[in-house]
Amino acid sequence: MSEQISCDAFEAAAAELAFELVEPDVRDVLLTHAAGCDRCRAELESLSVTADLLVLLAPEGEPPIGFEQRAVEAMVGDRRPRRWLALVAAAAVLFVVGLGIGSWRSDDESTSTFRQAALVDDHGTGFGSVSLAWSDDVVLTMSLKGLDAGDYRCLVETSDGRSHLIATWPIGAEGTGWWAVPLQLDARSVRSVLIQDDDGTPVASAVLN
Amino acid sequence: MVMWTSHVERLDDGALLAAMAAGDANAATVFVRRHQRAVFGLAITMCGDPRLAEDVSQQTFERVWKHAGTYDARRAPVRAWMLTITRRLCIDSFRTNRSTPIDPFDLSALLPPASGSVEDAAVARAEVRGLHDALLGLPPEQRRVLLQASLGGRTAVEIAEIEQIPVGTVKTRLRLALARLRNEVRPVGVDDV
Ligand SMILES: [Zn+2]
Repeated sequence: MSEQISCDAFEAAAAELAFELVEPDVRDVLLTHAAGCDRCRAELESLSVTADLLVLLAPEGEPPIGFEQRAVEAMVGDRRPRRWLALVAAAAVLFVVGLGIGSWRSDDESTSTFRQAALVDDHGTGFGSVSLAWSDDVVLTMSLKGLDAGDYRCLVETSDGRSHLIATWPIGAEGTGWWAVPLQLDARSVRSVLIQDDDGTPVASAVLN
Repeated sequence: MVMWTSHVERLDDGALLAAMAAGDANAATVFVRRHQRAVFGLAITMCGDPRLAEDVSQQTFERVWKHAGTYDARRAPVRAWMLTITRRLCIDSFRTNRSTPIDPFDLSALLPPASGSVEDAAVARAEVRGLHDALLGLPPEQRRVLLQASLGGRTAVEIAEIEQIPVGTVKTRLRLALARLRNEVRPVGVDDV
């Protein structure tokens, strides 16, 4: 496809392209133009964001009986260990870091439990929340907001008084992020979660126990 | 198990996705429970056929599970991201299954969602309200074309057939409608919650 098109021709088709309703060969021509034209690329991007929101207007519908179970089985059926590092590389805002990978076992879920606490600084300002969930695996999940852009450290304090550096994550200009980490710690020993900036200055903490 | 999921239900959508990307099967259960009505609703609206809609819905959740780590909050709320996957799958199924009749899309089925998810609800509600208002502000003929393209997944040629108008007119209306919506609806960032 070496066909060249003008910005006007691109604009005429940009809405259809945003809705992904153009034939593959036309699409290739349009995207080739967008790749080399900042203005048309920006136009397509903003139209696509709007086009993608329109799905929120669809009415809800009751799925057939048993759908939930079938869907979950199709999702997690094989329960393979996940490819942590590949996920980290792929994630733009949502960060997942694995500290050792265990295979999934679903037995004895009766022992599973969950704890959640707000992340606050010394003045009581909230920066999101932290959740610790465990059954066979211990998963620490964080929802962060209101942070300045930069790298942040996550530490876990255990009941023996030790601090464990879990990971360092970047936060972008939007100031938000979601992190999930499987912990190689006894969940019951986790006392609190600390967020520090890159220099080790405390930013916020959450007391879980 | 019941205790577990009822607790995990307190996680917001972004945290659930993060937990799913970390391989947490319980988060998957909560996610499906929370969003299955929205996904199936869009699928049945677009596909018409309940069996096809169920198939598309299940594939949506499989993709969410597989690609949870690639979600970008700067672009769209979790629910919109997920429903975009549903929409693409519906369109793919139209294109491969030529026997799917091009019925006139029932625009009267369009209603604001009755319920939302926990965290995403505030974002989604603000987005939906803004969208809905902007949509109602469009000239009716533009609105029809926009909904045929969006929730109908119809191409300009198909819409022209259904509406009995020239393809060029469809393209013009679609362009004007989407540009106007874009200018009127400012995406609500997660920060604004
Ligand atoms: Zn251009």
